[in-house]
Amino acid sequence: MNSPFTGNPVATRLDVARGVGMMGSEAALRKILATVLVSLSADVPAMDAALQAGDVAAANRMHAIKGYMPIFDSDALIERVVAVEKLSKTESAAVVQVPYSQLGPELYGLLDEIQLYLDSG
Amino acid sequence: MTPLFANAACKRVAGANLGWLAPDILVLICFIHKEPLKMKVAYARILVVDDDVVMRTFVVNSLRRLGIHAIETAGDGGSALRAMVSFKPDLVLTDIHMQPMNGIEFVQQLRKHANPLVKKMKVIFMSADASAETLEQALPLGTYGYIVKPPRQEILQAKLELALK
Repeated sequence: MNSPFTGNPVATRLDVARGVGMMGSEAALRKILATVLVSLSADVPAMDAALQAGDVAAANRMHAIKGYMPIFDSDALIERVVAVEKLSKTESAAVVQVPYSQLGPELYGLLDEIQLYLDSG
Repeated sequence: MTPLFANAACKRVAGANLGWLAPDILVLICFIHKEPLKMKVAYARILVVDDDVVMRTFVVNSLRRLGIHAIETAGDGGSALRAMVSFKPDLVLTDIHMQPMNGIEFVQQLRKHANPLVKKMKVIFMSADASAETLEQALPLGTYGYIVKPPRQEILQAKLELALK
């Protein structure tokens, strides 16, 4: 499993098998992923902007993201989200921005994988 | 969709595959064969309080998989307080970290409510943050404990059965 700070990209972000197991069916997984697509598409740019503006409190959406990641995401991505969310509780925006600069692209990558998966259905 | 609990319970009590029966008939058979706790869970009215739409979707899906269909949702403590009167739940599943009113404040408001049924409402907390500090705040409020989000199906079922017993 990748360390949150190695800079190596996460190989696969969306774990469909985990998602089907957690949701009970592929139809239910598709339904929640459609919701995630809308929610996360707004949250990631908002967190980018907040951290760049030095507003670490506005990055608290990471807490909600951390809550639902174990439903359908790979362990490697979950580990990175947990690490950044933990930092965001105690550290300044400048400190959080260092690991977030690696996590942000992963979250955009996750959005791409979700879109691809939904399109394939 | 046939409720999972109904399939499992009926296979135990009848020793046969009854999956071809309508879900309502399965529920009736479970009741006749003394599965009152599962019946109680299936017919419970549950209020789900979480400010994140993804988590609300997940929890509602999990409850439906347990055969529960009387479900209402709220996005914060204030909306949940209003739903207490309009929906009249048997049990509340609530997140802790919400704005503007968080889950702890919401339950504190319940415990001060003028309506005795609301005041004694059964509550289970849900949170992705299982810190000691959070537990210290949550547990004295007379609740049925704490589920780490996202709740696994079997954990959710066990907690509901315990609270609704």
